[in-house]
Amino acid sequence: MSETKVVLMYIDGLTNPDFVSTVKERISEINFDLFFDSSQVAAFLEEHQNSIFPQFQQTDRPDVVAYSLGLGKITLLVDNTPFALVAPITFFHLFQSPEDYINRWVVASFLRIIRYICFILSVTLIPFYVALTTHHYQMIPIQTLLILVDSRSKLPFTPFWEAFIMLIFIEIIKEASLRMPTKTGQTLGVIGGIVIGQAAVEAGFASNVLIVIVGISTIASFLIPNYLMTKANSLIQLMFLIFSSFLGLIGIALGSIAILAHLNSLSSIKQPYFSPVSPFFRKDWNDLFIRGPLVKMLERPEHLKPLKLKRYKTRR
Amino acid sequence: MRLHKKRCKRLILLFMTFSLSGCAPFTENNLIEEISPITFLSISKGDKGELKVSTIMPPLSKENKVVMSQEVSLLKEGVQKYNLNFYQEMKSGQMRMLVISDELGKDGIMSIINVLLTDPDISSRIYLVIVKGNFEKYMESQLDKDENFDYSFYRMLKHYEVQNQGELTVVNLHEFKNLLYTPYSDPFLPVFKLEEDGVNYEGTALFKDEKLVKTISSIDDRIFQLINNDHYLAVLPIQEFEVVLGHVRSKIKVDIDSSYSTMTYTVNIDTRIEEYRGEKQLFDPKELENMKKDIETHLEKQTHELLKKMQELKVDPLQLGIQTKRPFSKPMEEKKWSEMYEKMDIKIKYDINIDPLTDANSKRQNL
Amino acid sequence: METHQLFKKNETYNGFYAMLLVNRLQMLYFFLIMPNILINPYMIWVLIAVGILSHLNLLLLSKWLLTRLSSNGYNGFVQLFGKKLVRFLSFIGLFFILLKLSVITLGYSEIIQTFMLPATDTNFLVFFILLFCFYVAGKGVEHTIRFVLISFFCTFWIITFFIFFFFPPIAHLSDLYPLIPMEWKVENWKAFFLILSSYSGPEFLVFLGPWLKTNNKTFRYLSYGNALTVVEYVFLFIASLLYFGSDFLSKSQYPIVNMARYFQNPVIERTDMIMLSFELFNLVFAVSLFLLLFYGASKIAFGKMSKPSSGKGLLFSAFLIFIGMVLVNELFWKSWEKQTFLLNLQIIAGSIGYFLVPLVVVLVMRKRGG
Repeated sequence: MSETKVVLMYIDGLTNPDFVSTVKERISEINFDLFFDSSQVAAFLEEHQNSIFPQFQQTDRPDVVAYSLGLGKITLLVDNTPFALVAPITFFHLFQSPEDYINRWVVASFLRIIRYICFILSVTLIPFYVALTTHHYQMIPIQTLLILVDSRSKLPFTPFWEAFIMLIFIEIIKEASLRMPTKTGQTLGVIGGIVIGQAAVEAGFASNVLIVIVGISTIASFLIPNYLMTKANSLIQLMFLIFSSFLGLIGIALGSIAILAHLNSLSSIKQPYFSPVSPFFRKDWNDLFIRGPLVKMLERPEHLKPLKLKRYKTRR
Repeated sequence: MRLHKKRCKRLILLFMTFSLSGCAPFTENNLIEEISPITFLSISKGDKGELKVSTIMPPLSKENKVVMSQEVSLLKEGVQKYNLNFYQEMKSGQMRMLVISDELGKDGIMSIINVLLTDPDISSRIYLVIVKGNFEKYMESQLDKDENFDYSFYRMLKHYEVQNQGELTVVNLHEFKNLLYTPYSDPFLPVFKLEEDGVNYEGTALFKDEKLVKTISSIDDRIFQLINNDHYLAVLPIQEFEVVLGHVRSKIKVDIDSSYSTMTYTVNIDTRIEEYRGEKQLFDPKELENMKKDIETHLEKQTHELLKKMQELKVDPLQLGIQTKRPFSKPMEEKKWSEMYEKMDIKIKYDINIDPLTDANSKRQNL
Repeated sequence: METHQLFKKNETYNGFYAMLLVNRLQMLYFFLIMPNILINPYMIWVLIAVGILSHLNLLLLSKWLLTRLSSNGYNGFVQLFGKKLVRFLSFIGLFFILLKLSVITLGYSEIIQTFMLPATDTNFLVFFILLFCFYVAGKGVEHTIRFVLISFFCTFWIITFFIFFFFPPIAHLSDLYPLIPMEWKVENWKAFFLILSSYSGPEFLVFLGPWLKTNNKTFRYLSYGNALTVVEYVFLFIASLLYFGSDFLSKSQYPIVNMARYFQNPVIERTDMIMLSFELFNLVFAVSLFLLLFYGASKIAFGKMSKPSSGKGLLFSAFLIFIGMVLVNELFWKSWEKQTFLLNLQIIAGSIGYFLVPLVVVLVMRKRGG
């Protein structure tokens, strides 16, 4: 149907031919009239349509594409869109940024770990606040409790509704600042963030502790390099929020079990989405939570099953 | 299948939103603005053998605070009675201190300790404190001056506990319980005395099992801190020799002979002189040696007296009995040990290393 | 879209997974209450001795896993025992699984109720746990086995906190004395069987044969997993001895949780709540695996092997288990005396199951093999 040209790129003799055949087959099955973005093509190639996690990495950076090809992935170029699609990716690829390979490895590892921590923070910090203030007051240190009781004593809403309203509000600001011209967008961010937040505290709608927490978790959510993931973040957060107001910490634990089980069962062009953690590839951990020194990464990631594992020339 | 699962999920979500719009029907309501987590309880003897339980309400807030007391026969009953008297529900999950009056201590506090141990909300890190005097009255007088005096009190105990500051005895529930339940050892608690100007640390209360039998104070208490509790003292003034020892660290070695009749208790001390008003030339090795000898004999005498006292009372807060445990033999019975302990000949030996920091008082004969 | 197959087999997992499976299945509920029953310091040796015994058991297990029969799954068993006997045995197996499931789930929910959500009815907790287990199990056996990695990474670090108890002022060497038993009481037998039962769990690997890639290293990996468990048990037991002293140990119902409550952290107090929540990962993993086994076994028992597995069937068995658990909870678990009965039952059932399953399988195999 569609006349849009799609170019499939891979390095012959390196990339696993299974990937190529899978994608070729899927592309040939596409039956749709109009594509104006590569993510729409991706939508037809993905196995798990209902998942909020992207199974194709979208990038407009040639270096990322080149690097991915070199590791043994495949790349799709779609006509008339600036974004290339890279697959197969794993959950952990969402947290890797090209700068990781430019910085010194210790610095890069530190930044990468910060990114993971921020993801966890952005998803669980507000639910954690709700869990502590509604169920587990025992866990709050007494100094903090003094502040919390003081700031919460005159609020009309329960912590859940308070957090829920603030979260929706933040989403509105985020979305609004996207729709506006760049300069107005910035002003809106400032007005929304500071002025309304302050006013909400003074008017007695929200506690200042929550404002701080919402601020931290919102900023933390922007640290994830993948754009699609940043958007998906708030949904996970909302789910955790509901669970936590329901069962406290157990709710959060159950929620994370669900998310992890979901990730565990996902796949990107038939490759497990949660590798190299599950299934386990010990050697690939060098470039997972930390970015190991390049001299230690002489082999391509095993979980990509490349035809040539070694990245160096053997003498014989 | 997919459709089925989706519907299932939706139903669950719907169910959750419904129950959230009210309050969740099956969890305890612990909204922090609706409860008052008490930080301490003070227990003393009421009339007719009842317990008098008092605390400050509301805790942790800047509102007007009042002292509330109830006379009850059971501790938890007191907590329940507060709820009827106050607009916030009382919760014990943030309890930090338990103040016990010394009269109650003399009667035995086993039942109170058991209440604390069984409540899963109460952390085993709460501090136990014995006070002499009427704590309720004291609280009322303090509320006008310092609204957060309970918090300050807690911070003080915490400060001395954390790094073993070596000033006061600080005992938490877990330590007390362990000393109480293990054979051959007896617990001890800090004693505070209430006076016009505030709470003053008096010393350490020694318990025979669950009953308070003796309070040791001043130099005895200092020695107790040194040899048992902290193994560290920030300052140890010895008036007899006009000297103040600072940063005293001790190491204990206990030897017991095979017939369990004599025990050698060696205390190794590392310290430095922080203040000296005497005439001795501290930088002269000979005079320093003399000084050391003097201090050693003095401390030996004091410690011996202290241990004698403990032996007479048959209390063993130093856990000396543990020395009789051997890896490959049956532990002796507690009764047998306590008989032996009474008669045991305990030899004290001090071994002091002094670093003379100052020589300022000497008359500069060398020049 | 591919059809939903719970028991499909695309991948096989190597020894590393077997190791984690063994370890995580052994660290379920009993280790939380174990010190309360062991009490005496010399039980350390019993822990180690039974650990070695369980080692031998794993040797038998690996023998079975190495055969071609094991990788055939159901058909392998049919070849071994004959169709009727397999159906009968899997029918009995259902009760074993149900008992084990009830004990670990109800025990865990009771701990949650005691320490975290005192007003919550345990039936609700069981409902939620099973709901999420159904979700995990619904992903199929493959993904559930893979979930062991996540469960391992989420729970293993907890134990490192207990190193704290090995340092003064808490640790006294004398708390570990006497190191050898002076007398052997009747209660010690209960402790012995408890240890045996806590080591049980790997016998369920017998049924996971199709998904495990086996080679001559399999036994080594299985024994690594077992050794890890022994280390964890001994470590926790010594820590609890140092913390409580053996005289108080019998008075504390949940010693390990009580110990965790003693940790101090300036940012969050009561870290035990966080640890307990993380422990849920392990529980959900194990329960979902057992759920799948239960479903598989019930299919065999009622002769529905030819029918494809479906989510509906799994949901139905999850529902059955839920009903069963609620009944067990109301009839036995909630009253303390009857709970001990159930615990004893599981202790015996676990020990017997762990000993007989690999032994019988290997013996029958030998006989058939000539």
